[in-house]
Amino acid sequence: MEREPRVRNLLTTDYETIGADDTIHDAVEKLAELDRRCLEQGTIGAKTLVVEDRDGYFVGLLTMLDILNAIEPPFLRDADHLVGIGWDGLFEEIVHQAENHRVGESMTEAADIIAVEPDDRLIKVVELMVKHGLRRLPVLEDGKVVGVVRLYDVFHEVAREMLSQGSE
Amino acid sequence: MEELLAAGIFIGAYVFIAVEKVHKTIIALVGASLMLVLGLIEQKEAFFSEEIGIDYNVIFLLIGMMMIINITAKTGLFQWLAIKAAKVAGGHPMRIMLLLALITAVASAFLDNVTTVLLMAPVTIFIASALKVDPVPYLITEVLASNIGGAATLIGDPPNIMIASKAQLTYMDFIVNMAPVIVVVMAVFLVTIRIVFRNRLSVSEERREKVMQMDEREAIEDRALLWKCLVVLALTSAAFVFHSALHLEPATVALAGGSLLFLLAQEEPHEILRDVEWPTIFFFVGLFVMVGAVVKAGIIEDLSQAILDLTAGNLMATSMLVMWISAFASAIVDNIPYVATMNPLIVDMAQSLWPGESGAGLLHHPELLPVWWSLALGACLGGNATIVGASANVIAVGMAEKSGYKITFRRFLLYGTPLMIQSMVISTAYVLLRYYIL
Repeated sequence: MEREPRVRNLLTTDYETIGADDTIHDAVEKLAELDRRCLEQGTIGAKTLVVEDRDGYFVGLLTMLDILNAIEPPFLRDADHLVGIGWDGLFEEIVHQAENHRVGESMTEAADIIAVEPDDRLIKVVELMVKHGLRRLPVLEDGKVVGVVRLYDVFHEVAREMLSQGSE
Repeated sequence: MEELLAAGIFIGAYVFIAVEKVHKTIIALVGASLMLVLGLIEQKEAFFSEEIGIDYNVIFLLIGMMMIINITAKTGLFQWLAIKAAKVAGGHPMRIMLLLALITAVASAFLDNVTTVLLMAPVTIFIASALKVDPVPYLITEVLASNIGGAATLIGDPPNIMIASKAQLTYMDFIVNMAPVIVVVMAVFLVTIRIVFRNRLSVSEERREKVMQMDEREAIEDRALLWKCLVVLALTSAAFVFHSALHLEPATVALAGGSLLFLLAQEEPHEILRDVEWPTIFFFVGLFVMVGAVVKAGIIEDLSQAILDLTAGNLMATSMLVMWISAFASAIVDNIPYVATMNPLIVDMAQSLWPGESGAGLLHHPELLPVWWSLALGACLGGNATIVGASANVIAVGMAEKSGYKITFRRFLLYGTPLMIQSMVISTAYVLLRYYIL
């Protein structure tokens, strides 16, 4: 009987890493580059940056949403009623203001991130993704990231299983 | 022995509140529990005594007003007002500063200062960003205006609510006695900030245009709710004006207004009640119990005797002493526990001056009334001197910091203390002229 796949059989290494002290500008550059590479290669990529400290240990993730978070000015966060009110040039201003923010200030910190290990069963990934509404989980081994497991990868596995049984 | 014990707990609580290591609500509740457990005040007295127990008029007035404010805050009215004002000012930075300060002062006269500042601060930083000017002078002038405006009415600031309840003063009493001097203080304040910032605020035509581009109508999400709030606010204000003629206590008016808005708005009660500032409410509860025990132990009586000895029973001197001590005390310690302590002290002083009088005859003795107004002016306006002088100051500083603008203790002090002294000089002249000379 075929052995049930584990996280290590699914994970992608198609992601980039960045330092917590780097700027949001560096991060945007890396994400844009990653996106361009994936388009060229026809792959999907992890669309996230793994944030590491100087020794390569995992300290957080920086996703596209985290970048939007870095751009949003704090005074808008406190005032629901200002949503939709703006002026020409506001978007450009806030984008440039965020440029020099540190990655470490805007990332989702490791303590708030749900991660899995290479030997974990797929059902654990399914459970975590459904329960917490996550699209990707970092895969950690000894405090270092060895890959990212994406919703896309799990869906692929689901499709393989369901469609192969259906065709029997 | 009981006197020493009660004084020890009370002074200890004051010190802990000032040090701010433990939340003041916890300190007040622990202090109150100690007083009760040690039998320094009986539970029956703490809960039901009109003289030394919890002042439910204050508690329910605060809760009722918080309900109204919490629902009103959801309408976007304040954001609409602020942006409208900025556009009426033609995007001119000085006119915007003056108008925003004025709006904050008027709103604070009818709503709680902290809430007003919480609503005004983000939209102010927003407008300042459009103008590309430093929002800190705007925030400081608004918070100072908030403390000034709050002094004008019975419901504007907790010290007034407490004084009104203790001295059985009506809403109109405050309008007639406090509002005129507050209008003068506010006018002089606006002239002063105009002079101080005259040459420091300039923006390009292009940035002013950004303000004019804003669409304030976007701030109002629920027009129906806004109208309901405005109707209830108008009805409640009218009921406050006539509460004494209608034989309704202020707390009744606030609770009735809050309940009516609850009914009309059909908002989720869980959400609206959750947003009531329960820590503040329980701070008052704890404080009233502690002060009750201190009064019962006779400490307040000794203090009031000391003040009478100092001023030799001269009530003009007493008014002045109360006003200036209150101003400087409120600049350093929370004005709520301060007024909670001063209230029984003034009542006690009145009792020893006019032993034959009681009830309203005692509390409203013509010679005593200026002392109440002096206390109110000192306690409300004194909070402007330092960052820690009033809760609204602390909130504004916190919000500025979150947006990346640090307001240092020194910077606030540089604006706050001279302006506080200016307002106290005007108040002193007012009390002397109105109650003693003319």
